[in-house]
Amino acid sequence: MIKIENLDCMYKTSNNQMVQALKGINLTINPGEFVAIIGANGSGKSTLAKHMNGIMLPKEGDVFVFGKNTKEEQNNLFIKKSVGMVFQNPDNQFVTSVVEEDIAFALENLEIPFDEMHERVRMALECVGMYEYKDASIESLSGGQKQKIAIAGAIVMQPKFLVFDEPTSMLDPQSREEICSLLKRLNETMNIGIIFITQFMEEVALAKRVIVMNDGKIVKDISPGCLFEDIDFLESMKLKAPQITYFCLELNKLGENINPGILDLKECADELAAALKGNKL
Amino acid sequence: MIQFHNVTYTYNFNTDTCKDAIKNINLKILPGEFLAIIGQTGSGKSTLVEHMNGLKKPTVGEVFVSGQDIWQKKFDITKVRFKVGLVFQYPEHQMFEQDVFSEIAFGLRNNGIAETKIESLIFEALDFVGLPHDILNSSPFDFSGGQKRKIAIASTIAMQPDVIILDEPTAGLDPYSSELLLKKFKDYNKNKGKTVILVSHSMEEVVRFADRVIVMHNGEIKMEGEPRKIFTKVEELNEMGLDVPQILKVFLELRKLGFPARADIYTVEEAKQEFFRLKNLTKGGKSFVK
Amino acid sequence: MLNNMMVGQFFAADSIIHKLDPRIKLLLTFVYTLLMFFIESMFIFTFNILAIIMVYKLARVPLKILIKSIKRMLPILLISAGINIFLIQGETVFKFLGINITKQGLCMVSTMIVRIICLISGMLLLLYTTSPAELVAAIEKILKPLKIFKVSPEEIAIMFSIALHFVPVLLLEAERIMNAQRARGAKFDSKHLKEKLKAYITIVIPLLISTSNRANDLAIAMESRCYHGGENRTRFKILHYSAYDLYALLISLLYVLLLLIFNKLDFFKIVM
Repeated sequence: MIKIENLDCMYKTSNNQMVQALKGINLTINPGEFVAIIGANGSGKSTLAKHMNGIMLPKEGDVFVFGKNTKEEQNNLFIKKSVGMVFQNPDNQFVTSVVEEDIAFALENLEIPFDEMHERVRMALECVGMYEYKDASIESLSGGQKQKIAIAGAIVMQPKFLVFDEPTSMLDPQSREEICSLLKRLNETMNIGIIFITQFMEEVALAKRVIVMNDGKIVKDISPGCLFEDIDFLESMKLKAPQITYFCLELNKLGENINPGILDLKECADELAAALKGNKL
Repeated sequence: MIQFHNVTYTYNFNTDTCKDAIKNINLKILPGEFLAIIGQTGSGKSTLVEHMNGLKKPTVGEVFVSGQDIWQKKFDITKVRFKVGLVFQYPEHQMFEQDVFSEIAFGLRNNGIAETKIESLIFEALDFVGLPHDILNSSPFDFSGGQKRKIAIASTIAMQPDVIILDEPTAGLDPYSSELLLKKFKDYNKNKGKTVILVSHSMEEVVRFADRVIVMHNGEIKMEGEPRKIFTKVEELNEMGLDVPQILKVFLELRKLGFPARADIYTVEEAKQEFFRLKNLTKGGKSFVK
Repeated sequence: MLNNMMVGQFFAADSIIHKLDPRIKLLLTFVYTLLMFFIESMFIFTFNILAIIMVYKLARVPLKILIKSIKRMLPILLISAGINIFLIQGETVFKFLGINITKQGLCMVSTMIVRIICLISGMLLLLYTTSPAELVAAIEKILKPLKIFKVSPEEIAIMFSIALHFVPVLLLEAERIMNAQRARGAKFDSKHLKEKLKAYITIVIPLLISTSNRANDLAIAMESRCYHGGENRTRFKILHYSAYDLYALLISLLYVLLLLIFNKLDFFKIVM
């Protein structure tokens, strides 16, 4: 469980202005949850994420991971290994150039013995479907493959939560889809709690819970379906809904009985079909 | 405007990881058109656009800009760079000057534009991207990601190129800023009659903004034409690792369910009309579902 | 120009050479490098090249990769050869552009080129057959004595490993920035030195900024993966000597002696 209480965060920009990146954040994330965090550029999403595994420490307020305060030095390794993190730029998270050696990095730091280390590296690679690339050089991989290696490098710690800071924003649509289905699988089969920051509204549909941030505050904490129904709110946050949501809402306005909270394309087609058929009766 | 004649580009080192070359490209880009280029990573899109302003020299074939063979001896290739502006992906990573003014003036000064004219060109560029005039003395590094992007784009726009190439200009921007930026370029294209070339991953963007689209795959142009027509070939596109707009997928699903829905629905407006057309059909007593 | 990202990249294969302890390989490469400076006879160099080809075969590293790397260094080789060939005095063989080309000049330049090729092939073999982690572990072991000076060999080793990973990334980035500035009319090909220098500054600054951003990102990523300094870590690769290492040492020792003896005998020099 990650529990954030009254978190404030201020920082200084290069021209000496104080900016308040986070204002009075209160948030609890339970094990096994899949939470998306959205918000316009500069709304404080990344800063919030960095507090979740103690990369940033709160000056005001507290962050607890399974009851342990991130501020206390002796909790450091426990927190880092319970809450793994994957970042935006695939190139900037590797410490060596061979796949399996990079994945082992966290285990080396955690003083895992040799045999167990090799076993866990193998499992992590299989889990992300990249075992055949274990000897490959990281530079030779595509952006999407690099992100999978980065994910393997985090799950090798056997974390309870994984925080993803816009992991798909530098990828092409196909890799993006692959990463998304991987996240879903990690959540469903391994019961890892996922905290997923994204810019792509279609990807929000993966989550069961969405947190909307604006100007350093949490302005909404609901389910994706309900979120997209309120287009005016989204637009006031400088965000947009997926195309089909706009469509369903339009139909709703014109008196059709279509659930605008639908995010799955197949479900949407079924709903439309039902509306067309219902008409016939 | 820009013409490719049998252009092939091969890297002089042929490592297995590098597939991003182009083969036998014939292409004609007309003045004043809004062209989109789509394709998977490594399909040759970037190599293709880098030929348009003479950053890469074709191994075989010729490139013409305004009728001029740009690799002819004695021809000054830098002239092409001012005529065809190229905005790279993440253009904010190219910034180096101490203040916004010099950053935007960089290209203009390289082009030998008189200092007296530079200021008004910079103001115009700032207006274009929607930044206030009073930022000119600040450091370009003091701004947020989105604003930095605008400054970097302004530095190309200030040169007032006849053709502007945008390599994924909206990558990493939130949906709202992305929309705003693309609308600006549509205006640039419509009101000023300039050619805009957009390299994009987003099919929705392509349908809404481009007059014509080129689909690249393995270094070749696989399809070419109006976006509305190209996107009907869903299966071929999927095979090339490309996606189609979300709303189209919904109507394709409807077709699978037995409804005679059109397969060229891209916008919410079209989708609405199509829905009511289908509804009227069912009203007439037709049943499409067994 | 900046696209030499494949030079010296680890080539995974299952071979005896790959299995040798990286410390031994590091040591042998060092000895080999010294040896190349002692040899003067063209005949012995030819012999050495044959030996290298054999070792590459043994290591299951395709010669194609080596040749490609050498090809890429050819311009530098030829330029230095070109300079030398005009400078050496002696018996004139023919005149070129009014400058005497001497027998001694030709002799010395050809030896130089072959020597450099031999050196490069040896060092590349080390990089091709040793994974970065092994190399890092070996360096770490070799640098152990530095501990008395309060320098942490573990941290130096990690820095080395990160550098190996980031060199190709930064080369690519430099090329990208160069193209971006060129697209804004930067004059890298200018004949005026001042303009040219100015153009290069437009690469250096963005590259420094991006490097520091990357360093920042990487530090956060490393911390997230429980990095807490060089102390108290286990290793993915554990180094231990095997019988092969002993054989390799013995064979190499014999080889070194053989070459040195040949080199002493004037008989082989006459062949050249």
